[in-house]
Amino acid sequence: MTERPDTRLRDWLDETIGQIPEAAKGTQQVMSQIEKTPQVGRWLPFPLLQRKAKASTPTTDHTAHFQPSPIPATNGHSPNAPGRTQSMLSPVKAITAGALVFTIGGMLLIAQPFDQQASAPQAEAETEAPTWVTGKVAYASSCTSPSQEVDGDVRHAWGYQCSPQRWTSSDQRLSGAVSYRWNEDVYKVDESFISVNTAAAYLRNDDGGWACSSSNLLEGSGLYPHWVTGETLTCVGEGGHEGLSALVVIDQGDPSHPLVGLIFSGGFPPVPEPPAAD
Amino acid sequence: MVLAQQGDRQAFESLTLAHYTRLYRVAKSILRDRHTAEDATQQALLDIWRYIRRLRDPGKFNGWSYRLLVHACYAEAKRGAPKVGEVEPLSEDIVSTADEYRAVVDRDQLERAFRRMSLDHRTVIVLRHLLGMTPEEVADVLGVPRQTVYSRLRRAEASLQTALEADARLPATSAHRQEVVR
Repeated sequence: MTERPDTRLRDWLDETIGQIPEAAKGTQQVMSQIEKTPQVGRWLPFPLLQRKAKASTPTTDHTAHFQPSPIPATNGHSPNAPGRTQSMLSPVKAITAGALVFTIGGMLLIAQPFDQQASAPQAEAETEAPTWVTGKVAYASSCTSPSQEVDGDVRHAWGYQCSPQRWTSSDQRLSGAVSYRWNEDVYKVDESFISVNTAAAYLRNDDGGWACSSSNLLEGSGLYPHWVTGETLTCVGEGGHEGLSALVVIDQGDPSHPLVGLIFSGGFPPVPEPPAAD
Repeated sequence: MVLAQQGDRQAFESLTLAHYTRLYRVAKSILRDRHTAEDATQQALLDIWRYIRRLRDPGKFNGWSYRLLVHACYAEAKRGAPKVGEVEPLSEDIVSTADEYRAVVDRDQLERAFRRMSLDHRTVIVLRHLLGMTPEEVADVLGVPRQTVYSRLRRAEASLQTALEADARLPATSAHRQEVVR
């Protein structure tokens, strides 16, 4: 049946839709709620990046404003635009500069001991360099719910598990299958339920793994809660990723679940000391 | 679309008018309840307004809007079952011949079988069979791997078939017909 759409099912689904409400009425109701629904901008983690993004996508007005003024052609000749169509260096200067760079570079190379020439210390430094990561999370196809225990006004639900989630990111080290688990305590506050959860994401890939954790505040509970905030996971590298840490932020409110993060060497900065008692 | 992304409300109103019916049809097919489907459609359109700036490729608007709609359907379904009296039973009064009666019973069996299915299964059935999406497109809308779509489709179709066969063995009484199972 999955080979192609089933016409009997399609006809039945189509027939049972019934009377369709007026689009104009529905639209009116949507528009009446637009006021209190702010638009969310393109998701970039820092204002600096947002400013860059805006600057790199000029609006129509900007384009018109920054159009270069035409160069008037005089005496029937095409105008020359120095610096664009001609080299700023004369051929003699260019050859001299090239020879100078080649000579100095060669001398530096010869001056280096041979055993150092063979090694590539820079390559090692590059693998340990902090790396900015972007990507997305594909939720797991199945989850298991835990048994629950009510303790007065609190409901404890420990042992949720959704796997395999899949993290796909711009850095292979932070891509792979993830077992996402959490425990939650659910509190009833003003006739609604608020969950406090502690979550863990265990990522495994060919080179190693990551153990990530987060604490979160959610409206509702269980498998379909509403995230009050994005999820910030602190991750520690394991296996081939040992010695590395990562901070990963997932926008759980966005249906495409984008993630950004930074992979870096070493650990997280320490918690600041409490203020000295007076 | 671009104007709506820039916050132009008139442009978004036109967009909503153009896409309301398309989204409602899917919501009603998944949720099987008119009022819940209307709520889900409106919530999806509000989410579209909220997140439209993040849509980089306007050509993917339809698939993206279905994704938001499915999320809204899950949220509405979770909020609660339809109120009593909102079921739309099939009328026997208009049935005149044996063939027509058989058709009504078939449709009624399908309705009951469909309502017994999980929301995950209903969703893949609707996207695949009502909209004619390929499993790859369904996977993209739901944000799950393609293999997951295949397995959900197989299980959904098998459970639909089993429910239909089980249902065929029961007498088609009027009371039975109005049973609602979520």
